[in-house]
Amino acid sequence: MHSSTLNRRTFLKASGISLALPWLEGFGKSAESLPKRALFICNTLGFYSPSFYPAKSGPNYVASEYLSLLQEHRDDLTVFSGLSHPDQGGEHQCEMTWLSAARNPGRDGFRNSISVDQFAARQLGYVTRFPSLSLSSDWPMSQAYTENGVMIPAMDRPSGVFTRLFLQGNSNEVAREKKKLSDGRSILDSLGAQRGRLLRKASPGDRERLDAYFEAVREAERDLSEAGVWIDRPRPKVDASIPEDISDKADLVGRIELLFKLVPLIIQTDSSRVISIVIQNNHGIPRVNGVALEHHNLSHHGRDPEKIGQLMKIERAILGCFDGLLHRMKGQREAGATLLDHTMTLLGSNLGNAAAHDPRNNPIILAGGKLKHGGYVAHRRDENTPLCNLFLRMLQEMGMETEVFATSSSSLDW
Amino acid sequence: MKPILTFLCFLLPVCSVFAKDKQPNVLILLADDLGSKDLGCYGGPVKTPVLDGLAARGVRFTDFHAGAAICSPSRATLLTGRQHLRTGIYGVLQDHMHDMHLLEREVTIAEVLKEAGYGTAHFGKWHVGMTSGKRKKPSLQDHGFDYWFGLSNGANPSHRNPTNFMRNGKPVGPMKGYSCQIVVSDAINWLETKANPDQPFFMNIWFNEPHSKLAAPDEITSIYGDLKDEGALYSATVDNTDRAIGRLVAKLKETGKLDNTLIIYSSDHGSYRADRNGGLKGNKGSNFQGGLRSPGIFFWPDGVRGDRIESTPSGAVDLLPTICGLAGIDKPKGVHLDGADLSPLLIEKGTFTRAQPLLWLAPSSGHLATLREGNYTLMGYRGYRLPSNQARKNELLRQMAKLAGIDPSTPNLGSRVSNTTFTSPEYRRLKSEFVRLRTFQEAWIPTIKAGGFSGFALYDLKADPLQKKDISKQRPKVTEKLKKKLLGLYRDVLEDAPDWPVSEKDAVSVPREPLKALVEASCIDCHDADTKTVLNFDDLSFDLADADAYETWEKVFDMIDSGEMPPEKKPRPDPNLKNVALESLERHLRDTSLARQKRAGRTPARRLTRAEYEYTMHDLLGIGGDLASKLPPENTSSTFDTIAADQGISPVHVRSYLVAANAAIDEAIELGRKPRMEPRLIDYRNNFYSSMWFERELRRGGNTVLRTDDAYVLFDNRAQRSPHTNQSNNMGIRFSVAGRYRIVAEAYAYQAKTPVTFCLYRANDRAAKRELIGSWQLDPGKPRRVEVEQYFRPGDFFFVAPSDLDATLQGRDVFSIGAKGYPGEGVAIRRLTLEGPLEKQWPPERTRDLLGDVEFRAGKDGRYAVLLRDQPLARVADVVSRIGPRAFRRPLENNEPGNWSALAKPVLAEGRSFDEALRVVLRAMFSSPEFLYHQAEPGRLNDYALATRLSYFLWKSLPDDQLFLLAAEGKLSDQAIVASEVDRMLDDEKSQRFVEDFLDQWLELEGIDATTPDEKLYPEWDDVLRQATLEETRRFFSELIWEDRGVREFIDSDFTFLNRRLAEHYGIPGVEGLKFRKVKLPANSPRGGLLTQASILKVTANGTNTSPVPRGRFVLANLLGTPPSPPPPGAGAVEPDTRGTTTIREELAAHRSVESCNRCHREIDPPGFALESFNPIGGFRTRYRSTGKGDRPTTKLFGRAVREYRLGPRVDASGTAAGGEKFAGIRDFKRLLLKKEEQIAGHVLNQLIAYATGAEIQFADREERDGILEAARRDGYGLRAMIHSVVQSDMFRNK
Repeated sequence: MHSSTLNRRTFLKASGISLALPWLEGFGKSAESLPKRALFICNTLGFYSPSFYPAKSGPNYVASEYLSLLQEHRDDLTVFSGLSHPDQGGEHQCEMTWLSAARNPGRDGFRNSISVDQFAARQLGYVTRFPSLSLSSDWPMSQAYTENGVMIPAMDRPSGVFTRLFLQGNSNEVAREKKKLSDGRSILDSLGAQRGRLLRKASPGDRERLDAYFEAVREAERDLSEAGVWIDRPRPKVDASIPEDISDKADLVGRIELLFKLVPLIIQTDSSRVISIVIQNNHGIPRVNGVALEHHNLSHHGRDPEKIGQLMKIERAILGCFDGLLHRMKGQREAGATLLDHTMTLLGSNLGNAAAHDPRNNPIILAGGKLKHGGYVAHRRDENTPLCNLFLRMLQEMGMETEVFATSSSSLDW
Repeated sequence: MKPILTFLCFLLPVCSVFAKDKQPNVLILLADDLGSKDLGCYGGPVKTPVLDGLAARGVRFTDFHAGAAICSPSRATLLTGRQHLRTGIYGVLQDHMHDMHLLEREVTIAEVLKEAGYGTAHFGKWHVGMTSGKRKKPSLQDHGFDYWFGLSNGANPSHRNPTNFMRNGKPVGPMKGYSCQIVVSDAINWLETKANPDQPFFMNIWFNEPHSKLAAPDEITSIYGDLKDEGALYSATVDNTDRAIGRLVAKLKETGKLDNTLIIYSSDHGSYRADRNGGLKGNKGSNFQGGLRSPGIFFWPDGVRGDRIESTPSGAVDLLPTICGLAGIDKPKGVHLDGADLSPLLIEKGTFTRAQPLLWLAPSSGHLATLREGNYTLMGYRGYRLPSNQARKNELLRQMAKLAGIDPSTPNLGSRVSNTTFTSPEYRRLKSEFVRLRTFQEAWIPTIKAGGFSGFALYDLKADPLQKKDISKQRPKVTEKLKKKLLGLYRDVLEDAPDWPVSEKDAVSVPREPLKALVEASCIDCHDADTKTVLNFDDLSFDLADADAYETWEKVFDMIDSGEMPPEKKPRPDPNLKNVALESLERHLRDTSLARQKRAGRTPARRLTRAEYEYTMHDLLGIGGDLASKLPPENTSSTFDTIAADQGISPVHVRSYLVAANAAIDEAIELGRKPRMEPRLIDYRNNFYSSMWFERELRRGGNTVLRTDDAYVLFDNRAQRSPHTNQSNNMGIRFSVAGRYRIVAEAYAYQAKTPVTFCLYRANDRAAKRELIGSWQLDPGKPRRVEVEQYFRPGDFFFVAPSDLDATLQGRDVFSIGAKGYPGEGVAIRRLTLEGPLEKQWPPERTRDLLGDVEFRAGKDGRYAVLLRDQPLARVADVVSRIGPRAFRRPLENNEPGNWSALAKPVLAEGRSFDEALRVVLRAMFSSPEFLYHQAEPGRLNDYALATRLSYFLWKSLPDDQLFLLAAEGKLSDQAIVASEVDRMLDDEKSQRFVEDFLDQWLELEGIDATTPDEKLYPEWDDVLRQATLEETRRFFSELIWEDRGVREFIDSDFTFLNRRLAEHYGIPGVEGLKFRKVKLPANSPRGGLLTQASILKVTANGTNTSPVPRGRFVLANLLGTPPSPPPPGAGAVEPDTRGTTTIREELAAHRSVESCNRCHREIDPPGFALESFNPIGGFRTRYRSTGKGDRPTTKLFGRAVREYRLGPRVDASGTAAGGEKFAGIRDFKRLLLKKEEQIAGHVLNQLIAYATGAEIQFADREERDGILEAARRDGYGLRAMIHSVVQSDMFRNK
């Protein structure tokens, strides 16, 4: 047995476990066998584009003011312009469709569709303890939506995330949790068994809706039973202590930092392979030096240089956090590669020009994932390329056999 | 009555009035299976002197055709003048097997005539759909007949002494005599006793004869041959029918009505007997002439010149337009008729034209189509295969023929065999299988629609009347020409044809032609595939079953109907074109909507919202904790989360329901240690933790609170934000169990010259929540004892905080001086106690109530165990049977307690305790759709469903005992009882849940915290003010309900509700204390009405700024009900540039100069301008506040000069409304709004309906909704009366 090239899947097959174990350093050395992950970060109020985009595209672009903040990662990232979802619009409504590309958010009768992270999570299933994680800097709003357009609330307390991921309960707690889970399963099982009877009883108008309910029950049950497998597995130990939540919502940077510090831990322990993070700041004036107005207000700067100046201070701070994240991701290694090498890290926004609520020309930076990097790829600003082309590419890079995602026309190449 | 009739009413009155005197009575006589060579006058063997006589005095058509070669389709075409596929009929109906029926939206001859003032009655066979078992179909009344006597299909057991006749839907039992005579007798009786002599009548008599099972008096049969001879018997039935018609004609003559009666006689298709079709090719069922050709006799001495033979090709499809033509009635508008008006041929005036060739379709036969033009018929052969077992059918036929003694080589054996009089048990068995196999199956429709033709044959009927020679090869041009027509027509028909069952699809396409004409004339220039507008008529489906297409057409209808489109600058559409198109569109939209409502109800199964879930659990289990936040957020894309169609369900929900139920049950089953319940002192003065803060230096965060001899004093207005020194948990008080607690405080104003405020908060760090649970004004020199009861859960804490503290005269606060020696105002707390949980016994009452007959015993650890007196399973079943009916809002079925409690078995088997087992059962019940969804049968809600809808409307929770009891007694069908329940519920405190939830969503108040006002600019904004703003709006709305005040008050009122804080905020003097009261507004106050309430001004502000745009949008969307569309793609990209402009108004002016922006912004901006007089927290302003340049305010803040902000530019709240009226400010603007009182009332009504019923107003609701609004107008749109009307409406009382 040549353990040095032992493929994880082979191992799993041999041991008869259909689910993957959390990745542990030293277990297999081949970087190729490492799974690719995806991290989606959305700054919902956009980035001031004159400071974001370089003047000229190509591999030898001259870094813009913002990109110079990420100078050390220049070879690890690619900048895109001219990408967006078609048929968005309506002030900030496109926040909820940034990962789903559902058309006309906010219009009467709008229903969201599955977001790219959930699409990936569904395919992956419980290969990790959490098929996906959605986090938020402010409140439980996420961009993760189920197929039926239901939002999966984001976790907004880093301490809670940490506890769920890394804190091992005592044996009593584990036993209690197991019992709760198995009760839950038997409840769902019994509800599912009523399907036929209740559907027969239901009037034709209600049948369809009840059927959707039972479908949800079936899926929830599957989730619980898969999650149940993980209960017996010890939670991974990490070299970090539980973060202290910041209750002050004005401390935007602090709150982002806490989330960004969790990311390498999640990846390193292979707790989840799909993470989405929403950065939003609707509560007061962010505590950033020199900023005296609300972030939202500043984003509607009306070309007032004073306001733009303050806005840029906030955005620089956010990019500073991102720089820190990339540093951390590069500082950690697994199987001979950095965490970043195996994590496609996307930072962008649903607004191309927040001052005008313009949902086109989304600012996009894609880092890591062992993709070709180092340039600025400009797509047409008048007729944008579907952002889903990039999402599709990311899905394919993760090994998903799909030729289309939402509004994609083809897989993006550059 | 169908709405269509009322609609026609609109169109018809003029002609029906002036034509009244001349209008003939109309009598349609239809034979069943009678051939074109049966009657004497058509050269047949049967003696039919009566019909021959009518033909002689009338016009006899030689080339007349049935609507189809088989029964039901033929009749559908006759009744409607339309190709039967359009009407929903594809084949011969078996009511017990088919959902298929004549669609209710179809306009029948009866409906047209009824609308024109006729009395209408049907007699005899129907066969276009009658309710059978669970398959509900429109009744004859629904199709326009006042009265009917007849049967669904054939007479049983035969024409003699039939047993299956019904009168107006009720079986009449066995009848004596023969079917044709029975039918005529009833018709005569109707004429004599029921028909209104002042009305013209329409009698539609459809005989069963000569269809099998044949029976006629022997004396008649013997005229034609041997009594056993089937041919003789057949002739006898026709003869007997002629005699019956004779009795009716005699009756008409006797009453002097005959000459003004239009009598039309025909058959539903050719005979099954080859010898009665004049040697024509094919029999009944064939699209050759033998199956289609029928007699056609038109008699009307007063109107038609008789004694003529007419050879123009014609058919039953022409009857509706012909009757309209003869009676001078307009044809139904917006309905495509396939037939032609034959009246020019009959009255010999005008020219007869046939716009469209005659067409017959038989989609399940090989002869798919026949087209007739001139002398030519083009036959189209079926090009698709239907899954039918031909081999088995042939085998059955052979066996049946053998049994009946029929030669298997007889031509048309199928027809011959199935119509034989022979019968035996074995034969019946074979026949039933044969009929089943032969019957049209609705599942074939997609195949039919996808299919087409395999080939064509052309016949020249003049040269070759027996259709012996296909001449399509010889006449390729004619063939091509007719083929083109056939294909075009065929496609058109199929587009109209619905799918069955309609459960898949509620409607068919709206006719293209009238709409296309309008769209091409007036719309397509801006709305096609190449234009940038969202609407694209090129791709818009005409299929109204397509929800998107429906929605779009509905908008199109409203836009054109209201005149909003085409835009002002474009030419007006031709009125006639517009009317015809809109009438057709309206009818189809309404009928589609109606059909959907009939099938599925207006409101699909509605899920409890998050708030409803929480209230329901509270009321059901006697608990009080937060559950809503454990459930996923509701969809925000509709105004209300109660709108069922927009409610989502997902695994996230399901898992959350398990979690939330668990939390609820945890609270309900409290078996923990008995807590300390007696009052506990919270001793800030002597507590170690607070002592630390007394002594710590100011610069290290201490010395901001003071210990005096008798009190603990707070000086920091902002203590509500950093309350750690005052938190109950830091004082060693923990809430270990959930329950109601009482907090009592003794406090006084410290060193105060003006009133100060003492606040109590409940908070929970885990939930990141804090909530003001009480605030009390402390007047100088008047110590107060205050008390509040509040529900607390483990993890909660509370804290005290001051508000309204003024700074020192020098303008300094506690942070610059320190508490020791600070001379400014403070709140002194002399004593603070906590008592609770407020329970009489332990475990608490809610636990005892839930568990029922049990005892408790405390264990060593203090926790309680449940001691059962009975078997655990029996106890679980008892709990289920008590809680089940309330939870499911209906009585349980007998087996339900057993079924649910069975879930406890495996848990008990594991050796787990009774209460654990019960938990599993309860969690399952609370996660089941029976609990989570409001379900009902389409149609009238039963009493329980109505009680549920009512209590969730006004209480957001389950019915209470009284309401449930009324439902159980079946009393809720009584309107008066429902009305008194509505009053009772509105007067109950629980109706505040409705007020809060409704306002939170309607007026977007749930977003009050979405933005935080800039502390520098708006330092007066705090929790006390925040809560006061919400309280004002809720009290105001409640007052309108209590006093039944009109919607007018929403626009402007001379009163509002204030406490001191809010009154100070508004600059209204004389309001003391923090209790809310109704206050009459000063005459010059800008306040009054909703729009000037601080809550609304706050939610419509951007936070630090106001903008006229969100405020204008708010007025348009939430008050006027005309939400502006979001900026079109591209238009949103106009980036505001504030550098060169000084005010937002100029910025918007620049915006409005762009045409695409102006269309909406001329509506959006003016209300926003009028509201410029109010700052983001709802304060009145004449100048903007500024952090930069400006004048120093002269007003005081916290008793000192304002140092936080300056006064900037002046506010200009003037503007010009979209209609051109100028206004100087908000008071003017309100006067303009008052003119829109009706529109606003209409919107409020719509909102109430949508919220209450769980479904937005649908097209079919418009009439009822308009009626409610009209009735409300007479009462000044009183809010309480409107709530009553909503509850009494069909929208509310039907699913």
